[in-house]
Amino acid sequence: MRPTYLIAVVLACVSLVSTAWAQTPFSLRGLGQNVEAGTARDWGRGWGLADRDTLTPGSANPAALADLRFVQLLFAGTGERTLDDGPEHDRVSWRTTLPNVRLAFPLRSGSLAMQTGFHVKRSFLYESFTIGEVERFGQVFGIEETYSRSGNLFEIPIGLAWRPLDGLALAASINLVRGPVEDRIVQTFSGDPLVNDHANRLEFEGQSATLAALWTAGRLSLGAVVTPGHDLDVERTVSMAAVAGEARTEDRVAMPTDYRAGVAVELGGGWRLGADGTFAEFGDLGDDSVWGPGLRDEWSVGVGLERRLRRSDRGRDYRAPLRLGFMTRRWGHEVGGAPVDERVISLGTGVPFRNWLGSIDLSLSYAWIGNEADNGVRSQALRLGVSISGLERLVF
Amino acid sequence: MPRPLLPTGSRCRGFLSIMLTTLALMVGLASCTSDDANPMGAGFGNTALDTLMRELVVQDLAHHGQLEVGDPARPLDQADVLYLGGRDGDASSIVVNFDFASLAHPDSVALDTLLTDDNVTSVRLKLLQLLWYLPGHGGLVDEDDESLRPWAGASKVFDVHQLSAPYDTLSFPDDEPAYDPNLLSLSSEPAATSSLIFVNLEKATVLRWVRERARVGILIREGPGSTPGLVGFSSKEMQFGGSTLDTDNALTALGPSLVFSLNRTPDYWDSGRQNYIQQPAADASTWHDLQETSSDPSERIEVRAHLRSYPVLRFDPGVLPERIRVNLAQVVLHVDTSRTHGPPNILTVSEYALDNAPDGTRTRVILDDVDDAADLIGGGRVEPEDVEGTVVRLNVTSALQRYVNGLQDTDTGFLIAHGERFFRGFASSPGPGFYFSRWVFHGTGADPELRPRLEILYTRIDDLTDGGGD
Repeated sequence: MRPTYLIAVVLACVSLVSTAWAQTPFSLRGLGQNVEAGTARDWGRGWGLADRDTLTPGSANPAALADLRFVQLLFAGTGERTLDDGPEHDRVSWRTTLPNVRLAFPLRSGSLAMQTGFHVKRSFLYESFTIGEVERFGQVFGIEETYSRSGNLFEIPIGLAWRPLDGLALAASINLVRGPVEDRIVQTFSGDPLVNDHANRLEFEGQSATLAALWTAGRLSLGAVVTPGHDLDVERTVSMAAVAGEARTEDRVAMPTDYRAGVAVELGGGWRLGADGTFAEFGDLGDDSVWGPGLRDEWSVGVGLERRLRRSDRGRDYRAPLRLGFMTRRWGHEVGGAPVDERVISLGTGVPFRNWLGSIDLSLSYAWIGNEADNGVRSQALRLGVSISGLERLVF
Repeated sequence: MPRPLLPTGSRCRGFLSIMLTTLALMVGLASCTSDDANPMGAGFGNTALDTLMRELVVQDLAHHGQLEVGDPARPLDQADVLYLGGRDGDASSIVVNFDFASLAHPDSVALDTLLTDDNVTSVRLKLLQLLWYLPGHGGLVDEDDESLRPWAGASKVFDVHQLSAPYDTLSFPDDEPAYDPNLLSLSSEPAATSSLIFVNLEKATVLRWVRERARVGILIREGPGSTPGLVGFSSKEMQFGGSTLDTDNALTALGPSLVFSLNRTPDYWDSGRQNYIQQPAADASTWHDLQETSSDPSERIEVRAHLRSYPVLRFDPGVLPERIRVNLAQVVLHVDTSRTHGPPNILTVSEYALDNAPDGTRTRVILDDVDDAADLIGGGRVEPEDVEGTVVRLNVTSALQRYVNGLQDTDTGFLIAHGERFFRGFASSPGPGFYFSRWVFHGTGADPELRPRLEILYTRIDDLTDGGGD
């Protein structure tokens, strides 16, 4: 694929990506919403940690990069329509995001590669609006309150992937973790009282390290990714419009070890069966964390089938990949005193670039998040995932 | 053969269809708009300003100074209104100087043959009473308005005396000047409460002034049998209302004038004109009794117009927490209706350096000093019609926020004044020098609910971070 063509496609997609005040209302609490790592290929089949694709390496497990032979530029984004149902209100919201971008290039073709980019790990984006009234000095004032939360927690990895043995690939990266999260409350009143415009902003900054391995033996692949627990510096800035000065406090927050493991089995006929599991002990952070009370351990399990991309029998055409997946996740915080569970079904496909130098992959998934009985709200999200992976011989 | 940029054949069609579908979906998603925010998710957040708009009442009046404001550009003898009568300890008569020496001018020589005893049938003093002082305030306002007391008008007996000497125009407020006790006015009956008032004078005396080309002064006093009350008349400087008057020559002179009714008039006069008008050389109100404005805030707090007097108040702000958003701060004053009178006027509130209005004193200043020192507080304005019942609320929110933010360089208080000309956008018309009025508010010695106070609604910025303690 010509670089100019790839760049044009990427720019066209990026230019369309914008964010709206839209996500599930569960992202208003605690750790916000988990953002999927990987690409549309992983989202479509529900797994990716044990994916070994020697031509177009996946991104869920950085050890897979050890097979890289060309420079890879990868963009993965989603468009999402969410319907939130509550006992008295419902809301439809839309958003588009581009959470994963990666640039990787081989240092030694097929055995050593380097990567960087960014990955949004958690996202906070919702806005609620309520009206009410309050009586002061014998006078009743109407109140319109907008409560919004915005921001994200992202990391910039810089790492290496290395294949020391034929069936084993290893990877390590240092991740610069950054992220602003802002809670904003705007209260306007009827009559003379002036507006309250209150912002509580958290700025996270720190580093983490990620270790990864990908082991392949015959039809079986095993993958594991571990990001050990680490501390993040947190600067809290509290401000209110018209009030002089900002209150700044500094703190540290402990992030738990993030465990990820996956398995994939070649079934024959181009079919693969795989599964991923993740676990993070957010529950150990306690109620005094900057994330607020009600944190719980976060885990997920995904499983799915994939019919791989391959040439047609006549050799002139491709047989499109087909992916089916299911994933269940328990969120890292509770709402209404009950855990928030998410279940996702998905399917996906893709198309390669010429000479198989990269691909465009699509996924379509439907998610059910929470339930009205326990959490007060149920969200249903329809997500379109798009990822573009381009491979080029640039300077290497 | 060059390599094509895109896949060819069936691969091309597949590739293009997926690309176009993808782009169409992304365009579609990007153009979709979310529903407006609604109560969905309310209460999910970890934080909430649930202690918004705390109430705080400050009744400790830490400072009270009173400014007695003079206007050198428009001294009392150049006021638009002349006052007669008395009210609540204030009393005034009217002094007028006439200068008949002007008749010595060659242009006036023809008048010598007209202002003679046989040609002048009568000499009257003409006064133009302002509409506000007519019954029902001349219909200017709704008498049902509680902020305005019903007014039936005041029928006055106008006693006119000759002054011992023409008065000094800059001597008032002061006692009435010495005068001849003999009356120049011929009637001791109350005049009708009309706009135009004529008082018959002794013709012989006035014609003597004419003959002698005299400079004389007269004193117009409230005579026995008058209805109590303070009423106002147009002065020669009156700048309002002239255009609404008839063009009759007798009426176009707005100040106190002498009207000579003539049998014979010059040929060059308009037909129908039968009067010669002698306009005043000077006129003024004496304000020989003037109740001092209060320097004791426990007794009352007062805003006076015409003879401007404005209070400067400071409430003890020490009780204010730090780092708060002042949602609303109002100086609340309760009108003492038993002592308040006069046409209501716009009230404004400004920040004013306390050094310029020492505590417990009356300080004489000039209007330009107030202009220089007063920093009008945006929104701190009360129109008379905005007064609910007897409560006046002056919005000082922005000033208090500046105080909380530590942005005030000096100790300041709240200057309560009328809508002076230099308060851009807040100037009243007519200005505060026009009507005499007193807005009297209950002082700190009144019942607690009537005392002056500063009512504050505020929200603590730290409510989110420390649990919203008190």
